[in-house]
Amino acid sequence: MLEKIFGEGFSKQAKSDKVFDVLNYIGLAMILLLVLYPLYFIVIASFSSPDAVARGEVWLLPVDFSTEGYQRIFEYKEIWTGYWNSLKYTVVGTGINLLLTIPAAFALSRKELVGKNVIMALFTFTMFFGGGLVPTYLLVNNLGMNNTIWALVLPGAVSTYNLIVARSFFAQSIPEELYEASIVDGCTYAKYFFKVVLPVSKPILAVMFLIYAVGHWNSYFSALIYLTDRDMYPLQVILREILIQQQSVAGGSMANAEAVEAQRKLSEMIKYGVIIVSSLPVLCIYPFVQKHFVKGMMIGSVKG
Amino acid sequence: MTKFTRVLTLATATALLATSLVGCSSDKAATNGADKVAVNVNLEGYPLVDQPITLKAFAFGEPGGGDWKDFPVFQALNEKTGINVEFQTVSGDGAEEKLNLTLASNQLPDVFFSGLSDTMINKYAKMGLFLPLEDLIDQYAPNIKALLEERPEIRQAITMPDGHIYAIPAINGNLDGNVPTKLYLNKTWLDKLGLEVPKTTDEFKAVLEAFKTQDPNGNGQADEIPFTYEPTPPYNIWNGDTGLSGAFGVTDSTANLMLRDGEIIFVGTDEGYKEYIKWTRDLYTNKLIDAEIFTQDHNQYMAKRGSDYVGAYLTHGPADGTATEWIAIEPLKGPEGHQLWSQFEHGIDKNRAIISATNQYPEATMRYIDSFFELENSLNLRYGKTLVEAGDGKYEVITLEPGVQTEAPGPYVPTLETPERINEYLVQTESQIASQERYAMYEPYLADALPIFNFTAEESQELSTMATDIRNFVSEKKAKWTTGQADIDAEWDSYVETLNKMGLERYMEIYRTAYERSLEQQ
Amino acid sequence: MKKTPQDTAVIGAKQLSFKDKAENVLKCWQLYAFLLPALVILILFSYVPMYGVQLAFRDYNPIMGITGSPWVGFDHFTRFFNSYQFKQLIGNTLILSLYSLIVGFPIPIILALALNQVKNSKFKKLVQTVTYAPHFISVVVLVGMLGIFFSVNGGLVNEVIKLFGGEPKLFMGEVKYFRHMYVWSGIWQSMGWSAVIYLAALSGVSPELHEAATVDGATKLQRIWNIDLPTILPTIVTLLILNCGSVMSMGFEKAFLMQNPLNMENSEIIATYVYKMGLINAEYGFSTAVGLFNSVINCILLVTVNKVSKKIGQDGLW
Repeated sequence: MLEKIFGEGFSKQAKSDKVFDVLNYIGLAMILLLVLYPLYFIVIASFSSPDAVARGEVWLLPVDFSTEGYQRIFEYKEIWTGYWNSLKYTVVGTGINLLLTIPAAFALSRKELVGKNVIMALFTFTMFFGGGLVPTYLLVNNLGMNNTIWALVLPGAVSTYNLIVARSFFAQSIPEELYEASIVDGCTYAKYFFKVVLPVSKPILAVMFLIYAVGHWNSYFSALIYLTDRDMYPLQVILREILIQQQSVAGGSMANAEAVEAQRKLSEMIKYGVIIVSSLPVLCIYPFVQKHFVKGMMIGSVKG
Repeated sequence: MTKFTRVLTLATATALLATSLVGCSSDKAATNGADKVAVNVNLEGYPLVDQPITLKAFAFGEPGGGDWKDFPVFQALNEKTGINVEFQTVSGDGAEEKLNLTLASNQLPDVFFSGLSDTMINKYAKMGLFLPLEDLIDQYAPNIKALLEERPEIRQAITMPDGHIYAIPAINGNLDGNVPTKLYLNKTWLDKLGLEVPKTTDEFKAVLEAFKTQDPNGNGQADEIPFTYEPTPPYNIWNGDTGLSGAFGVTDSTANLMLRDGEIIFVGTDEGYKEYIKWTRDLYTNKLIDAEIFTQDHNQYMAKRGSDYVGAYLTHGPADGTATEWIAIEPLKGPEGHQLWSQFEHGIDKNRAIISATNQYPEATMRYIDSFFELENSLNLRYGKTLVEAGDGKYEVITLEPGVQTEAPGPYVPTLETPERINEYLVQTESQIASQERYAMYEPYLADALPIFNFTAEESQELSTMATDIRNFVSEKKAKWTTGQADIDAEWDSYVETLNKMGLERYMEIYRTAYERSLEQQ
Repeated sequence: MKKTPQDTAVIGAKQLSFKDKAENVLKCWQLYAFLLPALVILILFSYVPMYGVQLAFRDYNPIMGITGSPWVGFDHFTRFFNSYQFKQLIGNTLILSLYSLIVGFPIPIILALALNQVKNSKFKKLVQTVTYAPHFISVVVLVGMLGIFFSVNGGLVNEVIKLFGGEPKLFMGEVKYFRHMYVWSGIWQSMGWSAVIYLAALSGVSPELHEAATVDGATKLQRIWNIDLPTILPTIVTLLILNCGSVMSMGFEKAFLMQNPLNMENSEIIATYVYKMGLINAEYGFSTAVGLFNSVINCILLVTVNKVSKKIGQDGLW
């Protein structure tokens, strides 16, 4: 029985180790509950009546069970155009991210690359120093990328942090013997990269894919700044409008007070469901990628 | 370390190179738009122009109000006027940011609808981004010209201290808007507990105590929230206590100013304000005021308002769709006999349309905006789908189903509504009549409305940081004193001192100068 | 890091003549080709906009552009240093990020070490899957959830406090709670994900080491302390340096969303201030100046921490 809970070899351990194991399990179980409950709450709240939630009556099970929130979501057109847009941006953006980051990380992981420390420092510097929003905006504007998908996917195409993670993986997980063997076979770097390195780099590809994809899926700020056409808004921008409505009294209007109120009631009704619906794609990919996390996430010194 | 220096050098070099590159491209952007097509503008009838033109417009609209390019009223106008206006709509979250970035990029649309404050207009007009409109109004805007001649106070309100008009306003005819917030009481609870409508601050407190302790919602728990409101910006004008403090002789406003006996005074340091805060502290610490008034967001507030847990609240119009009966009650009488409520100038909504200096057809644009004042256009722009014909050439403004859009820019473009127009063309609905009755109830107690201030560019520049500091500090302290986290008596002197350090004297001087200027111009 | 034959080769390369070096570069041309696209993006979108930093010394006028606006020298800086909010902003930013760092940094390490001891793979997987998940929640949702759970009227936490006879507390409002709310919600969201990187490093510990230590009679705690911890030390140091370098650049979004007038005293940080002054008040020059000041402090911190780390015998970032 105990072996089943605590894993093989539990009873053979010294007493102090047994105590450690038990405490360790209890501690982790508590953390598990602490993290899990709030997430669970969103789920039950999405199936409860909004008033019951606002009054704090929802605890363990849905109160006044209702799927009206979800029905409203299905009728909410902007959510679905946003969904489609987000999907587009995520696929294109992640593709570009991977195309740029992975080869660069591989190149930087080769110790014989002259100047790699300087290049690495160039990347790292940008983690701590930037030109600010206005110059970046003017640049994007001058390049004619305003209100296009490129404004969302190109400026952040290479994340320094991810570059370091990928480079650490190539430097630490690919045995140097593989390289030496392929050199003997007369391989070029390109051939070595595509034929030898990539096939054994599934973990890092998976991790990079997930981090970048989730980043695109959750990002809203560049969309907020660069996109002017509502039909192009990604889901997160729509989501923000639903979850936090601000300054709706900008001009001192009264005529539309009732419309604002109606919109507010609708938002209140769908906000939990929208959180769930918007997280679905991530929830779908996540289990498949999760097993690669531990193998893929590594970080070493910036210098090789 | 040496490597780090090397990187820095390299970075600087790259940056320098970039400067020269981008420097060139931005110069180019500034010079385009030189060739101008000659268009003749018709002062009467449609189309407004003798050959079709296209304008780009920046539309700052209602949050969640939809894209202006899809509005039937604009599609109709495009066809009718011969001016094809392409809208870029921003609204809600990020709208202000986008507006600022657009202005900063110097690739301006031809016309801006709403969104700009006086400060911004002053600042950018001084840089030369906007056109002065007086001459254009004179020659190409017969409707606006007639209005300004008939009502000189409007001309005064929209003329900037440099003597120019940069923006066209919307004119409202409904006086009810002057009193954006009123005190509402849960009549159902009142009747259930057999209580009278309270007339003084003390009676009000007694009612709240009864709400708290006698379980008026009948669920056996003391879970009632006797009184709730939104005391902090940006919603305080609409759901806050700017009027409630009138029982202590002061009414508040966004700038923490009031007009008392023809003089502008700072509310935040007034003795009456101090007494008012002590009164709210008494209510708050006795749990008669919602504990979350300073922390809840607007949505939570609105949700509470519609629930059966609240006994009283401050807002513009009562929550509908609940079983509870809500009544507006007269402003409360304070211990010193004060009975006052706040009033705001709502007749003129400034800064609804602005023409850029880069606009190639300023005359046609002016005429286009002018046409918004014509009766039919004005009604359609204001009410959109909510406007239905009621026979006899009259219209009725109806309430739409939740989720259905008005599909009109409403108060975000210049329109003209006067009491005469309302009487002649609009059928009053029950809720509109009710709101006018509420206005009549409050009218005897209204404080003088603050005038519309117009600042010079220097004044607004100076005000911008000072105002943020002062207003944030005042609302921060208000929150702390009301909740009892800090003691108002102990802190009062240092509070006044800090405000003075932040430049309160100068702040008031600027407002007084602007006030005097507005009196002179009248 | 272990030294490989390649390492010595590189050290040797340093003494090579210029000609040999050039040959080396030529030999690696394909590697440079791999790097090129990323470098182009980096220079275009990160380094080119840095010319905009000069806005800090100018009074921005859109018509004249960044390079044409009039110089104002250090005016913006003087205004910032003399402003009523200066001390408060620096203090708030430093305290909030140091608190996040001191509490938030060790917890994922402890979690990783604890998880590494779990032999029941189903349980381990469950804990991992669940604790990673909040990382993928957006900040908007997170702050919304805080409001729900810590509400005075019917919020879960206060209901529990009442159950034990306590007084409900205004968690989202009172100044004294703001920092705790900010930091601990951050830990809730990111501890699992941050632990991944240590778990990865821990997977490199050879089981033989543990077996040998067990035979020698070492307890689990001793083994964690003497075997596991030293293994992940390089990872810890690298992350610590990166974190210290960004001490002054707390993200604005969460603080911005959590702000209300009651907690402003503690919640106004440099990032939120720069954002408000820049994009809302349109004071581009001033806002850039504050941002620049912040970046310079960051760089100084980064260099210092890296130096210290090298002094105490650890690998630095460079």
